Amino acid sequence: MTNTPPLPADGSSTLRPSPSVVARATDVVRVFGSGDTAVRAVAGITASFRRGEMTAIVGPSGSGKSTMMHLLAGLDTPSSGTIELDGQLIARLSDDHLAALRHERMGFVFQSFNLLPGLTALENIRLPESLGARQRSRDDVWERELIARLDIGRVLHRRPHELSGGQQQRIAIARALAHRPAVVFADEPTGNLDLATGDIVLRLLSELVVDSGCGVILVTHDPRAASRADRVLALRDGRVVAELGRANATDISALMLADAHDHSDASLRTP
Amino acid sequence: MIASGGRLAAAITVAASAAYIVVLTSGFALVKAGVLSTPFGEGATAHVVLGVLSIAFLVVALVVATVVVTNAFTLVTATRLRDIALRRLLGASARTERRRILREGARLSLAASGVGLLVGAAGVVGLTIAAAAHREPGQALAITDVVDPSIVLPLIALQGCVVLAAWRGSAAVVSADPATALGAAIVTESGGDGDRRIGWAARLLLATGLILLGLSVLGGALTPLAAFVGVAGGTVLAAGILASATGILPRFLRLIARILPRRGPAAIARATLAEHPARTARAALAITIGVSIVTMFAVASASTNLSLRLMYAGTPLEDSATSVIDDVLGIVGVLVAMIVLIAAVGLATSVALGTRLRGREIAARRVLGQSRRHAVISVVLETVVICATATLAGLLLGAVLGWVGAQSVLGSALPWKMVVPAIPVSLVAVLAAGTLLVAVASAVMPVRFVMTDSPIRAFARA
Ligand SMILES: Nc1ncnc2c1ncn2[C@@H]1O[C@H](COP(=O)(O)OP(=O)(O)OP(=O)(O)O)[C@@H](O)[C@H]1O
Ligand SMILES: [Mg+2]
Repeated sequence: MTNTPPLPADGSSTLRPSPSVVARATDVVRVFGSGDTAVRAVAGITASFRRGEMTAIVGPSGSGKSTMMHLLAGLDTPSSGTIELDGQLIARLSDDHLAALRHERMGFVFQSFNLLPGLTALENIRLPESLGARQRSRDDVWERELIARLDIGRVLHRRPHELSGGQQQRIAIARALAHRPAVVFADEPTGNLDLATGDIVLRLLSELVVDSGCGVILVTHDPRAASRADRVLALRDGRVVAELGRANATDISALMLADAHDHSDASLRTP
Repeated sequence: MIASGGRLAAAITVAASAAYIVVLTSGFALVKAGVLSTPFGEGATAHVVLGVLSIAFLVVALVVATVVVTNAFTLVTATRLRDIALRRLLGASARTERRRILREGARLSLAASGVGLLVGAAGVVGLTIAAAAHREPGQALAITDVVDPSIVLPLIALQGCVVLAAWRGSAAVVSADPATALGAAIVTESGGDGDRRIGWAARLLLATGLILLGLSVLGGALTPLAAFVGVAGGTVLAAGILASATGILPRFLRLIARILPRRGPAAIARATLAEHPARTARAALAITIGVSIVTMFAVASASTNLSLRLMYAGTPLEDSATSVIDDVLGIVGVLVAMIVLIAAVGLATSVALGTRLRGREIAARRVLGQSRRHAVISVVLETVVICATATLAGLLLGAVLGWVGAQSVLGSALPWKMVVPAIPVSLVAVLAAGTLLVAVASAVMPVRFVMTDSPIRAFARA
């Protein structure tokens, strides 16, 4: 049978015109509730995210950053528009498929770490291996390198409650990167860390992104965190209002403050 | 939500225990009054036996209720740790916080006991009417035959047990570090790790109990008086096991959990089972107590029956010798069924609330790639392992105690001085089926929770 389309051996497919794009949102809208109380958390966003690139999503509280991230990760379904992840349209995927996709192709870093309290740090790093339908194989060399670069070798056998926040977050980063995902999602990963620790964690994350070639989508309030990103998307009221390349913290603060001023002016005018 | 579920579980347990107390005291009062057909015959001995039996069943029920209510309060406290930490940060002392929980326990206990009293009374009225039907006409049933004023004592004891349970269940308050209110990490109770060590007092009780039981087995070959040593040994051993349950049961649990594969959802179930050993042990303990009592009576009677049959084999006494014991078991069966029911309610609520409490963990695992189906399988496996562990532990303990009991009473009467141990196949079958039923029933709420909860909550700040 020569006319059967061959399965793409390299994982690419016709759906993926540019193999460097790991996530793409097209005209995405997400409405919560209905009628008078409906909230358009995401009100039409088109954006793509590439391998080896860290994109920061910034914006005032309630601007739809987290909602956008959940949509991109396939954890929520858009009211309209399409999300394409790693070359696949996620609307077509079942819960099992999405879980497998998260398991094999994505990594996650949370604001509150989400390490399992009953497991040691090392067990937490390895936990995802046994979560999927398929046992994930372990890359020992990469795991050792991650542990060395994140400087967590000495705490591997401690439980999370015996670790500082910064240590916990570094464990979580090792967990997120252990399987060399195509894309890592991080929602306020520095939100529970002090400035210096947050900075170290972010620097490690951005270095590892370059070296492992994955894409990172970083949701943050912190201009210093955003300044580590290769690209900054500023959101307001569910829309992209500005896009910057690599920028320093001062410029990003200025952008966010200007935004906040517009916002507060608007809200002052309303009454 | 979880907190109110925990309070509801505690209330149901207290109400059921109060009803049990009413049924128990009135039931035995009726038997004493000779109203119900009794296999014990007349006379002082029968009264003594009845008295001992009713006290034993009272104690067992109070212990089970205390275990279940303690667990309910542990869960209630666990859900409130953050609030408590915040209040402590704002200046409340741990004592005031625990007093608050104690007061809540006392109020709940009084209200639930009232309800249970009414339900139990309704049951007794039914029982009395049924009994009156058996009476000869003209023989009126006096109210004093049914209502025993001494019922006040066990009811007061129940209130004491609930307050004790609330106190022990709220122990985590002391460790609620005010600083946790400032952090955003998952707040968990420290796992009750301190409880996992088996204290020297418990060790002493266990050793003494075992020695006494051993003596009663040997003594049973000489005289039925060895039964007193046996009862003492059994009681001491039971106390030792209660005192060390959070140390012993987790070990047993780990052993049983070994049958689970090391991969996939089973590996997750294994990890979770190891996470809160004290809480899991307490969830299992009530079932273990219930099952061990069932088994003890069943094995004692089966072993006795077997030995008597062997002794009287071929003589006309073969059948009549065994019927007396079967009758005793009838009354005991009803009481045990109620205890097992309370234990099952306790297990179901702790599994359900424990799952909710770990909602965030479950959400995080789903974000990291566990499918909903596998999350469900993990939760069901956890429940099945807890139930299986509880049942097996109860079966083992009950079988040993039952045989020791039969041997100490009867050994000397047998020509070969040793009661032949027998475990009724029907008992094992009923227990296996019951375990499965309780496991499935307990899994319903957690499964529904996993099916409907969104993984997005893993991203929540606190
Ligand atoms: N599950 C939900 N149900 C209803 N409304 C929601 C839900 N999730 C988010 N929203 C609303 O959508 C809007 C965007 O929320 P989102 O969490 O994406 O904001 P955010 O930019 O991440 O804010 P923050 O910086 O405070 O985290 C808000 O108005 C919020 O109230
Ligand atoms: Mg957010």
